[in-house]
Amino acid sequence: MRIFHTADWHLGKKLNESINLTDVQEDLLNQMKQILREENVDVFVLAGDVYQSIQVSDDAVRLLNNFLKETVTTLPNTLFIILNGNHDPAEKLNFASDLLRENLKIISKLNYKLLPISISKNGKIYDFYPIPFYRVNEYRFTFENFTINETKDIYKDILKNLHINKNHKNILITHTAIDFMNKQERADSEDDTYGNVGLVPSSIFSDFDLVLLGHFHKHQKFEKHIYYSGSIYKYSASEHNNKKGVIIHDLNTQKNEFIELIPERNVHYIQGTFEEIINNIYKNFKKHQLETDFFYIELNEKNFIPYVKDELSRYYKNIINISYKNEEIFFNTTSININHKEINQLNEIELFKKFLEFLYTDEENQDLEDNVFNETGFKTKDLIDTYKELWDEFKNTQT
Amino acid sequence: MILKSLTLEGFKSYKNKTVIDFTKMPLNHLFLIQGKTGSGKSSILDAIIYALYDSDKNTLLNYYLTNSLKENLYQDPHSYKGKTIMQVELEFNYKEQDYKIVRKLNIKNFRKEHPNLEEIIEFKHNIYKGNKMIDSPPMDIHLSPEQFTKSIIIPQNQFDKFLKADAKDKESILKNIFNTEKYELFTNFLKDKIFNIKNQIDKLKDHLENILIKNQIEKSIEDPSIKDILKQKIENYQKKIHEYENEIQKKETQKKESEKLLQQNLNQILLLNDLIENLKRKNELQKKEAMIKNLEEKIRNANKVMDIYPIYKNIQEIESQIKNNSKQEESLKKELSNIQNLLQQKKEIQQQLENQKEIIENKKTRLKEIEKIQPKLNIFKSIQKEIDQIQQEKNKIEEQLKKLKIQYENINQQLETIYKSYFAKQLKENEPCPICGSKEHPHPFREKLDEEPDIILNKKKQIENQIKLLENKLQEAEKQHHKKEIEIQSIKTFLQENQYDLKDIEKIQKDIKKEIDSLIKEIRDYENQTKNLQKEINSFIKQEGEITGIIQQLENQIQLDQKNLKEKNKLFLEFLEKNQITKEEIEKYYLKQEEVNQLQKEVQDYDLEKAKIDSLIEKNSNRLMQEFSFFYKDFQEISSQKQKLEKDNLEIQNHIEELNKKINEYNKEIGTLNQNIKTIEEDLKEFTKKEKEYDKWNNQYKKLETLYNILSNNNPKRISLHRYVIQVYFETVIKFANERLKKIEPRYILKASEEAKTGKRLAGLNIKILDTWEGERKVESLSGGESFYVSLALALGLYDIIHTNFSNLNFDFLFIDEGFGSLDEQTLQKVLATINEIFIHKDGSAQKQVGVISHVESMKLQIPYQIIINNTNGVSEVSYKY
Repeated sequence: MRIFHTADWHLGKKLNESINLTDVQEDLLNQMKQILREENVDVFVLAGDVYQSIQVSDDAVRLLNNFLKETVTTLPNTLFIILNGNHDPAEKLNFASDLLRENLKIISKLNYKLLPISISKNGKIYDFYPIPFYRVNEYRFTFENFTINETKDIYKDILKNLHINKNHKNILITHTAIDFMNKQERADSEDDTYGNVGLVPSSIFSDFDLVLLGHFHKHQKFEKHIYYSGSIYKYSASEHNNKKGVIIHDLNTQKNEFIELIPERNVHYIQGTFEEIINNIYKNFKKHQLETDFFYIELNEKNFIPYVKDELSRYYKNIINISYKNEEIFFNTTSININHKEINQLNEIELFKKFLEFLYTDEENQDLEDNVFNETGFKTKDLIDTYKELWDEFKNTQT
Repeated sequence: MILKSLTLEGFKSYKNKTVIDFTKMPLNHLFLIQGKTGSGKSSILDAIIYALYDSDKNTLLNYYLTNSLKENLYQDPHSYKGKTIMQVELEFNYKEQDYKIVRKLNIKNFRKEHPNLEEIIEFKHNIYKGNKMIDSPPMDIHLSPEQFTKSIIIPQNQFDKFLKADAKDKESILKNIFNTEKYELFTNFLKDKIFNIKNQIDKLKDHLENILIKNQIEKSIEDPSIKDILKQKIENYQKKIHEYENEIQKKETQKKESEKLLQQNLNQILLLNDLIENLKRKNELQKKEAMIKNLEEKIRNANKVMDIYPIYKNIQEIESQIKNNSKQEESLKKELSNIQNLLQQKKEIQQQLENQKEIIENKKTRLKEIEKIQPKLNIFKSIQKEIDQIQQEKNKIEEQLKKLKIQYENINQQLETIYKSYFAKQLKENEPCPICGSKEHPHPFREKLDEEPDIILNKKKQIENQIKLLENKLQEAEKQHHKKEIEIQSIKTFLQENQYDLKDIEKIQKDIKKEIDSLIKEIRDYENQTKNLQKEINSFIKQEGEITGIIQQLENQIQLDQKNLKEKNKLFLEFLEKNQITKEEIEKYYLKQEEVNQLQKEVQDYDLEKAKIDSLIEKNSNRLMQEFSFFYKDFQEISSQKQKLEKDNLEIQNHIEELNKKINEYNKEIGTLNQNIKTIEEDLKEFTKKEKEYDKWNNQYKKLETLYNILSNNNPKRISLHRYVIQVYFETVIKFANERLKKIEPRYILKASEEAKTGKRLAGLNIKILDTWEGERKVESLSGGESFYVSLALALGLYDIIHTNFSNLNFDFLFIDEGFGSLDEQTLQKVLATINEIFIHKDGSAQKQVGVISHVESMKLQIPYQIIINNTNGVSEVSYKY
């Protein structure tokens, strides 16, 4: 039994909401098609987040349509299981799923009657349990179970109703966030939908032999049997170091092979000062990369460089985002010398002193006493004392 | 504050009463108010704002009142008479207390046929705290409705109001939220204080300047030499005073000299006066001389007869005495004879009484006898009484005895009966009766016995005893009777002997008494008479004795006097002859010794005085001679001298007066100068004092003004303290907003603007967008969608701050009306994700109520809790999805 495990295609996603990845995704899909043809798999699992948004774009639909057209029909012995994830429009994904072919199961609604999907091979029976993604409130209303408050409650509830046959090989497929002693690695682009996906402790799935998950964009493994295939492309800056690909699980050999997908256009994350970045260009990148690849740039500068994008765009054609390592340079643009917490804690006199410091000192001229005396002709202490007297008088008039 | 429900009726498209129940939407979860365009979603926000803040009549009538109702009202107002045509009711929970605000537009009960709309409409508001009605909503928020709609309820097309609001407006909102008003108030307070101080300073300045003007010092009040000038003035005055004092001194000396001369003259005049006086007196005395001589003669004569006069007088006395005594003797003799006559009379009467003595004795005896009878009568009476008593007793006893005898009879009869029956019983036939011995007993006695024979026997014995007793008693009584009879008998006999009628004892008693009384009286009278008479006789005898004695005395005296007289006469005649005085002269010349003494005194006085005056005159003349070298010859000279002196004195007096005048003048001048000195000294003191004050106030003013400048925007950075504080908060809002913005679009960063440009404009509170790719951009340069989510980030930032218990606001709800339509899908997702973060944010505050209004499709699909507004035929209806 060999299973092709992939997830988080996010068809239709634009990098940084601006850059169209249709072509890149198409290419990646083609690569997967190729792998499918070459590798002999029994089951194809796409564990959620097929689309990027509930307002699916035409391109996204077209991509998926073409992919399925060319795989499902040409590989009739392979069972295609597709689930919805938190990004998917559940109803739309589900469209005409019952009318489709035998070897294509698009599951975005939980139907216990259809579970498990059993395949027997070589005398062994393999039970597949594809559990679609539910938001908490959706689950509550759909199943009229108002005790559910968190995502993990959903799975507990569902697993209660499943009758797992220990004699079979049980494979769970779902789209969720595992909590494995907080060692899980996350990416920015996983949760940017309305309604959060709560953490589910990995121990819940201990009854299964194999758990094929989607949602985390970095491919990772937990315990012995829980796998994330990861997304097929670096969809956010935090993924720039990830290897992207698919996993082929061989239940006989117990091997789980990761096959990398090399995209047409890669995503890079570069850091450094402006100088460094400019100077190191040709050291690190080939020309065509500079033309086509996508770059996240993090400037390590003390000061903000205006119109830096224009500058860098001359070298890097496709800059997704420019950020500054030291975000502080954006704040405190005024020289106000206290923050809101302090202001709550200071009394009026101390506040006044801070105010005086603000007015009469700056980086070059740090001596408050001198400056105050030079400017006003009065000593600081004198002014502060008078200020205090006035405040006391003022407070009395206010009562 | 959490909204609970909103009830609308007649409000915009909510023609029928519609309740929007917010409690159906869970707290801590975003909910959506969705519906077609124009279905009535935004009206909900309008209604909430109206409920909280009220609205003006125009808006209510022309915008909020359901149009169709308004039309109907115009056409047929009567159909709405007395009814509520529009009603908005908001229930909410604030600080754990339920409140309800009800605002109504009522149509009054009117009479007019075609009334004016103004006349018939009335607005009513009721605000309830729990069940109690209160005056105003419980907001301690000071946001105005405009500010409210910029921060809490963000209405359609207005989301970027805060972003684009001017600095003043932002300041106002932030001020209300963060309660920084006190800094503004404080600055104003300081300003007022400075103003007051300035007034004080000006007053002082005037004061000081007045002093200078008064003293004709033309310098500025700060000139240090002023005090010295004043001091100099004082010195000058003092010098002048000194001069005047010297002058006065001189004049005084002159005055003294003149006064001395004056006094001398006066003395001389006195002497002269004395002299004149004395001379005058002497003249007077001279006049008296003749009289004095006369007196002297009188004295001489009196002395002559002084010795003999007493004798003369004595003789006369004796003569008169003799005469008197003789007269007296005569009268006494007459009296004596009277008395002797009376005496005789009395003695005769006495003799008569003596004769009656015997009769009286008899009467006495009789009295004695009668008196004996009284007691006897009494005894008689009493004995008689006793006899009567005894008699009565006897009668009683006899009666009793009679009765007892009867009883005894009865008893005997009873006994007989008994015996009879006894015997009857005993009788046996053919046995002899013990009494009669008959053997036949045909009628045996049978009678019932009441009592036993023993008893009857007892009774009989008793009665027997009793009878015995009684008989004894009777005997006793008889004895007594007899005794008494005997007793009484003696008296009876006695009375009979005296021929008293025994029958009427009382009368006897009366008669006896009468007789006794009369006897007693007679005896008494006689005795009294006898006594009195004796008294009289005795007194007459006494008188007789006395008078006789006196007569005798008088005779003796007369004899003595006659003897004396003879002797005295002899002496007298001798003297007369010796001194050649006649008797008549004695009378004439006699003066009592005191009189003589007095006359002598007079003469003496005259002499003395004369001598005195002479000596005085001499003294005077001597003095005049010695002291004033004045000799006089006659009276005229003295006069003229006196006149001269007086004239001189007049002149001197005038001179002295002039000197005095001058001295006064000088004193006055000195007085004035002193006054001036005083005034200047006061001025100096005042000036010094006020100068100090002025300096003090001036310093204070400078200090306060400096402070005020610092606190208001007159400082190097042109930021007032208030704005400084606001700026801190503002930057915090920006910071929080940036946290939000980072999730949505990390490319943009909000920046609080830099310090103000120079000039008068206030600094700060401007927002700029930092495009990390490009550079700074003006807020206005953002696209619609960008504006929306940047504004949203700001709103959420503001909302975040409010919920860090940072301010004292208590709004837990946030409404965002539209704007989502301008976002692309991915951004929309991010925006929703960031709105959702409100609920994840752990900041300690409790429930949050966040609603969005939109018609965006994906939101309808994604957000599960919805209030759906359906609009059919222009009327809105509410349904829920949850």
